[in-house]
Amino acid sequence: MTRHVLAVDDSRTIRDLLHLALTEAGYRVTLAEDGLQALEVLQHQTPDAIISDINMPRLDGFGLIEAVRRIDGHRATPILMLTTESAPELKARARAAGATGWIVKPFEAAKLIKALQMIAG
Amino acid sequence: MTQTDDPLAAIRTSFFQECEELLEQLADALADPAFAATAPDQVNAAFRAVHSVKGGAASFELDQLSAFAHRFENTFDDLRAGRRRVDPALMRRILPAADHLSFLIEAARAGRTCVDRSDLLQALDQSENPASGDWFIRFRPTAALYATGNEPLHILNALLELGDARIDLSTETLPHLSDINPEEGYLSWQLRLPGTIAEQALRDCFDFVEDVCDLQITRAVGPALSQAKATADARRSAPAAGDGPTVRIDLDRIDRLMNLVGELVIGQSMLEQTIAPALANSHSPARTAFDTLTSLTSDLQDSVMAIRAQPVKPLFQRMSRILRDAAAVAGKEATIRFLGEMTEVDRSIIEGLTEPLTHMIRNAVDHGLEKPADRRALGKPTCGTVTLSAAHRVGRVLIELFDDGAGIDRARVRAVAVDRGLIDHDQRLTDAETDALLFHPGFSTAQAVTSLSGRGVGLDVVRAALSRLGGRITIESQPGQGTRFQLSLPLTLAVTDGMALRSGGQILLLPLASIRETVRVRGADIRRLDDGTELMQIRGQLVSLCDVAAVLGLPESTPHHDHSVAVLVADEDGRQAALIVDEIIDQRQVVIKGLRTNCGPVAGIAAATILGDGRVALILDPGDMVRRAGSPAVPPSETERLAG
Repeated sequence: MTRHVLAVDDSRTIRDLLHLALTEAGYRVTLAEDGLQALEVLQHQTPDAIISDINMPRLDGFGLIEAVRRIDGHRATPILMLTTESAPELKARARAAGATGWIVKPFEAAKLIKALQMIAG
Repeated sequence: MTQTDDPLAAIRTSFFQECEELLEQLADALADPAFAATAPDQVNAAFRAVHSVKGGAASFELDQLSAFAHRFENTFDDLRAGRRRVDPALMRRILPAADHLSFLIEAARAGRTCVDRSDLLQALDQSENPASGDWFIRFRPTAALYATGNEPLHILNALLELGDARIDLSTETLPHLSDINPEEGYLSWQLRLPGTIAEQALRDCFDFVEDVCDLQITRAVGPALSQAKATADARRSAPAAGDGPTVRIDLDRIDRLMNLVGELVIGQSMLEQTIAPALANSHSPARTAFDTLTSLTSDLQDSVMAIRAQPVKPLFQRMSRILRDAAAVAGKEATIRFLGEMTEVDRSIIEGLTEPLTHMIRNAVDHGLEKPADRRALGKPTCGTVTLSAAHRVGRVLIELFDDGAGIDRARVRAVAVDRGLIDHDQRLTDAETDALLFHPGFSTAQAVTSLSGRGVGLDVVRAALSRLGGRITIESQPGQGTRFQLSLPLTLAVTDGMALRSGGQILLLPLASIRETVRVRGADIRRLDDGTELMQIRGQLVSLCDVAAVLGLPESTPHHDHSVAVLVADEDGRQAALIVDEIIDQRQVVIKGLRTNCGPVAGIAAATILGDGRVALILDPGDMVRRAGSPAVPPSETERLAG
């Protein structure tokens, strides 16, 4: 069964890169531009995993994770954070908010897919 | 590091400097009680130290050193991989090997070869307990692992991709169905994987869950299993060697920076005097800007000082080894105890202390501590204790060396002093005066010249070395209880807070840390004793007077001290004296410029500085002034400066 991933990032370039990497690896991809848009998507769809940026307008990545973890049916959805640096405090904050894993930008497609497999099979 | 035409030679010099640091790190790790428990931090530190020695030695083709380090390193590698654990037997083998490593480094530095001690390495290998090789993993997810959307199945699948694995699910902690909390994690897994898999590959599978599970990864050998947890922790802490990245800087460059900051301070105070009118208004833009500049200069100064400051710990550790060697030669048992070893002191002072402290430690073992049999007879523990302590005290650093030995044999000291004509046979001395004889040049009570502290070099050499650093030494002894040496040193040789005074037409500076209070002198407060000693009554207490102008040989402007100012100063021991000066000018920070290389020791003077207007001013030595107070005025050139 084709795996479905929701990718959230306010940068069009990153969204395009994510889309390319994920579709090439055989995933079905839905894109969102920020946390609020992602939450709208989650009202109608149940992706197997979410990949999200941290810094975004309206609702940032931390806020998105916290919201997702409160929605029945999405509480256990794996969420991969895209961080710009591997700062331990960022990881710690993402983990505290409920993130499943993280990947450092700029990412290599192979690493992204590997991380995704680790959290979503 | 000195400039040399051969860049490789310079790097080689730097390598041997680094080796000293690495040996200290190794000694540090081995001495830590946690090492005996195979604690990962200490094992890793030891491994890295030996590993770095090996790497450098190989680059310079120091084959004997690199070969030894290579095999020595293996022991620590086995420990950190959980293949072995530290036990007392291994500890007894590691220590001599570590010693030999330092001998090899010394030999390599001198271009010599060293005796072959591969027997030490064989001894290390003998307690070898080779692992079967297979990886053993215990993995117990916590509730947080599930709460963050992680799934053990994906992790197990990822591990299976690495190689054939045997996976056992443990349901031991699974409660009765009615007691199950669906948010809680109850399951754990035990896996066995081929030893050919790289440990990092295994670790990568747990990258996202390290903090939300109990994880133990180790080589699957019977006794090593209990070490598994430590090994797992080891990886987490492995990269955190120090407190952050470090960079090695040429000391000359720091000194140049230090000098520049000193000049900057002087320049700033020149500027302050020049633009004083503009600064008078505390709300003027000039004032605000100047205050900012002042605060920045001060921060800059502190930062530069901090670069040069180092904890005394490595110095103390070196003493630990000297004590061990000295005790072995003297046939005595001794341990060393450190207090306040993280006290930070300027690097130049630490360097200057190595020689005197070495001598004092040897002295303590050789002359202070009794032989084990004698100690037993006295009801003391057979093993003597030497305590080294460091602490900051009134702007100086106080280093104490205390042994619990026999104390000073004053009768014998006296006999030797009479024998050598240092004192008359009927001269009466207080205990303190007798003890002070030990500092007399060439004084030694050792019956035989030993390879350690004999050689006719006495405490006078120690005192001279400390004096060069602007330090003082005092001695205190209790018969049967031990001897205590107190070393008082400046924190830095660079900057001091001082009070500017005028005396005999000159501007002088007094270190602020030594000043207790200042009082206006009234002639009626002064008592003159028959021997010419002058005392002054301050708050009902009689304090010795010291006329600064007289001590320095300056023209006395106020012969009867009327209308002059008394500055009450105290030395490290709390002894006080009232220094008589004409007036107090202000308080300022000054850059210390040494005088000793140009003028040698000068009575009452510690150093010099340059004032804001470019004039040179002398910095007074309060301790020396206190000692001079109360003694009849003697021309400075005829008095030998006491211990500092």
